[in-house]
Amino acid sequence: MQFTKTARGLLGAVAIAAIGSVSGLYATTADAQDYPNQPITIIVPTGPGSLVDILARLVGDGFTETWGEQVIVRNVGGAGGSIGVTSLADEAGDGYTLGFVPANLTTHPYLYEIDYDVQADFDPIIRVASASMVLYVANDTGISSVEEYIAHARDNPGEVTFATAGQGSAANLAAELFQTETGVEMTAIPYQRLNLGVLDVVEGRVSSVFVSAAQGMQFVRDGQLTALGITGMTPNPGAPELSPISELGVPGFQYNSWFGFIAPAGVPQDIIDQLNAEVVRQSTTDAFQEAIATAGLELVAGSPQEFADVIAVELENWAGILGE
Amino acid sequence: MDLINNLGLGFATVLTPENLMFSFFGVLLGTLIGVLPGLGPLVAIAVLLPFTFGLDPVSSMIMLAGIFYGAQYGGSTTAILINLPGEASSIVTTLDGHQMAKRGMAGKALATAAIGSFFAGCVATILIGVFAPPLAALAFRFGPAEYFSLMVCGLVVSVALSNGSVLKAVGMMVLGLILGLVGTDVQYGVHRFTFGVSELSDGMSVAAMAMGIFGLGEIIRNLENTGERRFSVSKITSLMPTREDMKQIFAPMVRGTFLGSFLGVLPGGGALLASFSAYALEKKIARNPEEFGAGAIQGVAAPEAANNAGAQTSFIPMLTLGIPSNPVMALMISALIIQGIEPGPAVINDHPELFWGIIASMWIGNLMLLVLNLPLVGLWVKLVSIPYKVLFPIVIVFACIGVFSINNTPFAIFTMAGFGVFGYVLRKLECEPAPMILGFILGPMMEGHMQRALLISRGDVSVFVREPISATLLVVAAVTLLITILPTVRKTREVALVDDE
Repeated sequence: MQFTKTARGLLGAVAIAAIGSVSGLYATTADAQDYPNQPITIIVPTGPGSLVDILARLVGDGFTETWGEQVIVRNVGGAGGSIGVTSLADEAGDGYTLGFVPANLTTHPYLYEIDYDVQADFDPIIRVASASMVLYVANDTGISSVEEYIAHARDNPGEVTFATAGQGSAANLAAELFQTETGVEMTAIPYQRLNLGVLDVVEGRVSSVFVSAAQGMQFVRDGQLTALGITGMTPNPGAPELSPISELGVPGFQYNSWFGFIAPAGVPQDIIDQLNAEVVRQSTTDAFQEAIATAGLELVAGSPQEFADVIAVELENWAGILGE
Repeated sequence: MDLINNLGLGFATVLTPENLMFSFFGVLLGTLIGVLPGLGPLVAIAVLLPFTFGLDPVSSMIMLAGIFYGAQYGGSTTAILINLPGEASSIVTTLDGHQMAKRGMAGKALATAAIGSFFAGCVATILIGVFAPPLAALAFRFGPAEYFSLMVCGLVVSVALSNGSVLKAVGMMVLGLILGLVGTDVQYGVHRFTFGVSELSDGMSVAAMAMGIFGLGEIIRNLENTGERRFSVSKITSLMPTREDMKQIFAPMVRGTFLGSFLGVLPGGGALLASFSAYALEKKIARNPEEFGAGAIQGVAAPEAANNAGAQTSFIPMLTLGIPSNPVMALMISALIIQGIEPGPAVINDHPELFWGIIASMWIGNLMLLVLNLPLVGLWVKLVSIPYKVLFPIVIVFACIGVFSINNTPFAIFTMAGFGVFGYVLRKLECEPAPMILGFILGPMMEGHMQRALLISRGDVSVFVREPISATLLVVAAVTLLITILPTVRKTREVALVDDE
């Protein structure tokens, strides 16, 4: 029944508008014994309909099913996600307000004027999934391997262009990292939304782009685009035939984007463990694994500590590349 | 026949109970807001935008499109019966439509408006089906330089086509471009004119701005007239036009349709300009010009056909180039982007069911409107008698919910309120806000394309005149600008656009 789903969407939107304003009135009591006993809000720092938003709603529906409490997803987009993370930082650390954030969280300190400390002000709960990106080049560049790509960029400094979704976007971060690792100099071509940038690479106006398998592999299969390699160390389910760039001449090169739950600092450890265990449980269901695979993602679902470690390592990496 | 196959796909998409329901809901709501003065399709679409997040893309576009062209129908009903245009594009319909009603031919005028709109809707549907695919194919050859020049051309044309003083129109357009600078620079992440307000770092919300200027601004102006509004509602007589009438309206209807279709594609064109131009044209070529203003049936048929055709063909640049020709189309673009669909030349191939579904829904929507409008005239007229003091608070509440829920930020409501006051000032100064909104929407897109064109050409400005398509577009823009400011042309232009008000 497709219509039921639609009607629910409409009702849901009304409910969010109505309840979003009321939820602030709830007395916030953090009692791990009977957690959760009131609606949970998930702040998503992107607009509705994005991959982050879809995943947050998927997990949120699972919370409702398991615990019978309503889950409200609040989209607070803008400024690379820093507006949404700021509003998360203002909430109480009681487990009733969570944030579902993408990987560029660890670049916020170097790119935006923010009032929060990514490590001190938040408790990591779980890194749900990760995805490597694919390096694509335009067919008319004649480039067919990572080595040729590097050689071409080295011989013609600044001539090779790559499409990005602006500073701080995953496409830009991957390319920045690539330039740092290989010592070549390329020119960034910024797009408001990257799918137009991918089209310009297909048309040969821009030389290359780092973007997800989902956004580019269909062009490769139509013969309109060339894929050189992936940015992760393990095979990408959306492009299983491609090898890691780190094995193709840039040893140590790695860039993965990921999605995970964080909470404002101060959440009792047993609530964090309860949330972590619930997401791990959901991740074993067929519906969840199918959703992850359709999006070309790899399931992570690790421990809170695993997530904290990833955040610490990336913060340090970006400090070297983006920091002053 | 590709067109037939494609339209077949479109009809198959639309003819599901769910999509028919959304189409019906869209045209019904469109008619409703068309009837109510001060509530345009822009406000209705902005309010509904957040509620489309949960729908699938085809349903949401079918519904939003229905609101847009449905409003063109609704506006004419009150224009004819009570001399009150519910929608700006129906202003010219009051001239002869209401005169006809006074002479006891209200039914005939209503039928003429509905038939004219329906005819135009059918023709425009086919025109979109025929012209959009080749245009999209051409658009694939558009790089950043071409897009930039196209937008320059579009802004110049929107100034040339705007109502009233050229200087004011240019000023409004530049103001829009400047407002479009607010936000974060895409390339370097530098904040521009955000004054430390984090909500401004992604720029101002076009929905909040448009709703403030067109919605609140209009409400404030209406509140100036505190006196109770009393209408004399004309009695509706026989609806069916005679064979003689049909003969009389056929040619004006065809002319209005084609003129409207053409003007709808142009930036800043759309339904309003289409109806005024079609009326002026009919008056000029009529054998009985003295009857215009006294109840000439051609004076109803042509502008009603033109405004509906213009409303529909304004989808062409949006669907094929991803460029909005008016603020309503800008909201349609945001509705598509929220659904993860990037409007542009790829839409026809990547989402054929969406593209052809929208087109087919226009035909079905027009049919629904024809059936819906005439029998329900009584209801629509009753709606107008809702006291304004009841109506406007409802509108304001819905507008607030609408702008708030797009990004869940109260800041959008402040933006809307600020632009509401500004919109009122603009009305007092007789500055048309359309070029400003268009400048605001196109400004950031233009900047991005210019930046990319120059980055790819490594700083060589001549790229804009070296590419043949880009050069041609710039020449068109220059010539249009020159013609607009030539003294003789300026005079005729002012006469042509103002004379019929």
